[in-house]
Amino acid sequence: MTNDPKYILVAEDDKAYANVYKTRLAREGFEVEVADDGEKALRAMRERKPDLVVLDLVMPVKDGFAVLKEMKSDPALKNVNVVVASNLSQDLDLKKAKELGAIDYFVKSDVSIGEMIALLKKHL
Amino acid sequence: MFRNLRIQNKLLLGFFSIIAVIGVFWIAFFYERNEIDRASEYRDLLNTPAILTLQEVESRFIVMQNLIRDFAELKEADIRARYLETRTDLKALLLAYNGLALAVNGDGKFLALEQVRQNMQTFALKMGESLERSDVLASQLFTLHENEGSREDILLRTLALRTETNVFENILENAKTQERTIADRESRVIQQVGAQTRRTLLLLTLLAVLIAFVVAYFLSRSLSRPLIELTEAALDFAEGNLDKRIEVKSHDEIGELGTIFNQMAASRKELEEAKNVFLSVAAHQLRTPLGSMRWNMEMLLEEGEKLPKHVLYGIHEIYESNKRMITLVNDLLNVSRIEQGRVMEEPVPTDIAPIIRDVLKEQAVDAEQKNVSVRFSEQPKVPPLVVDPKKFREIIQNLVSNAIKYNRKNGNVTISVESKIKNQESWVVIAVADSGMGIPKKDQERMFTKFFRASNAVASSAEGTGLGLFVVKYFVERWGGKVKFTSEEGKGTTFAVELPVTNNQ
Repeated sequence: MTNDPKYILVAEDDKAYANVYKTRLAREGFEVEVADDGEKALRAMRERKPDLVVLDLVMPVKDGFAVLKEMKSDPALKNVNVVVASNLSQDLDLKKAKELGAIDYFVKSDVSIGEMIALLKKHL
Repeated sequence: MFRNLRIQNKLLLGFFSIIAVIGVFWIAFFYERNEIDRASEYRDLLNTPAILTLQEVESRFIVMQNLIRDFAELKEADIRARYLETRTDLKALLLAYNGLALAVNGDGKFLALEQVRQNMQTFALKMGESLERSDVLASQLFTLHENEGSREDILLRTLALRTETNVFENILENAKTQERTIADRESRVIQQVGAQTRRTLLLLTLLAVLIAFVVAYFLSRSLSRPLIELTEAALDFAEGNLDKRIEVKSHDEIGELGTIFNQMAASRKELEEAKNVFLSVAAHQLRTPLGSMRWNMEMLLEEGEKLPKHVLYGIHEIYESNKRMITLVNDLLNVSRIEQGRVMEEPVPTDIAPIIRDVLKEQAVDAEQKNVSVRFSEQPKVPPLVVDPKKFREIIQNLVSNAIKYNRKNGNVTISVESKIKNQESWVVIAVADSGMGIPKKDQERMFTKFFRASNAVASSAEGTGLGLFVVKYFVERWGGKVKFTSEEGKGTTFAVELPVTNNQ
């Protein structure tokens, strides 16, 4: 393991959530980048491969499912861990995300910031 | 057969069939009365007086016969007087007999009356003529006796007079025979008509009863059968079979009711589906801002020491309200998912004690505020349960938050977990006991009904949706378990969740 800070890419279109991710994850010592749509997120991770992707499902331009599919078909991004963070209520959607290769998922409104960080750390 | 009649017309039909039966009875009754009346009237007015008159005639005639027999031997003057007296009586009687025939007006009532009347007049006439001839012979005899006539002449006339009385006797016999025959016939008519009418009446009664039965049977069937079907369908629908529809067969009010029921059922089902879609979309749209509020509030609270106390307190209050709203939205989502049959969960072998400890830690603030002491009595080595960890957590959250929320100040809550063997199967019992207000007896049956809240819970200021226990029961039963509770109003409630331990993992 290197001593370089871990790089987390967050795909999130809601500014309030984006702010929390940026502030709190940085405070935990991570490098954080936020992309506000799926297309930008893919571009960002091709520029620099992240250690973990936090992926919202409902986003403009390209939604979370499309991002997951593209990542899995891209050899360079295939092995990047993706945690799905959504407010989609349908368990079916979360299940679909897992089938597409997401390693874990959480419902944003159901977890505290502390729980969210603990969950992300599990996959780093 | 009465399918197309309105109920009003069905009832009218029943009414008219009764009226018709009554009418038939009346007609039969009058017919019988008429026949008997006709016969009796004829008997009373003509036949009976005629017979009596003829009897009188006969008795006088016998007197006269005896007098005539004595004519040959006796010459006394009083015999002549007695003869004349009897003859006058007879003439009067014959006149009366003739008068009877003329007096009765039987036209159109008794067809044979004209013939009878003619016969009577003929008899009266002939008897009168015979009497006239007897008179002539008798007066000749009297003259012969007075003038001391020849014996031969007297004998000859006496013989002629006897012959004449025989003629009279014959006619009298004929008249009597006619009256006897008529009397016989009349009494036969009265008897026959009576018997016949009784038979007809009996037959009509049976027929009427039969008609009434048939009409009543079909009417009541056509009234009650669709009503029974409707009732059964409504009960079925009420039990939750929203696809229940009625086959509308009749065109009366009940048929219309069936059509209305079907429309109602259809719109009720659409409404149910629309409600579920609305619930899930609305709840989803609520979650995004609620979640963002939660995280931002948490960030603010992390900086709590930099804030004035009253501001921190305010943020805390908002944070708590926000959490309650999230719980409410999740409960609504759960219910709508359960009702749409779209529950997705992944039961995996789960160690439950850490989840319970976590929930208790989370709710410690609420307990502290109410000064409720919470105790967790944990049996060592409780086997893992095959449940969905997130849903299990929600269930424990529901039960523990209820136990704190509906407790008294300075009350206590005890959560215990223990395994037990029941019917050679291994079970884990999670019990949550409180010392709160308890559940009133009348409400206990409905505690697991969605949106239902016990009356004293509603009366208290504690907030709630009435969805928690519905969700608890649903998932516990889905995992093969049972939820029970015992409660005494004013003393407290104990909820027990029993879940089976499956050893195959």
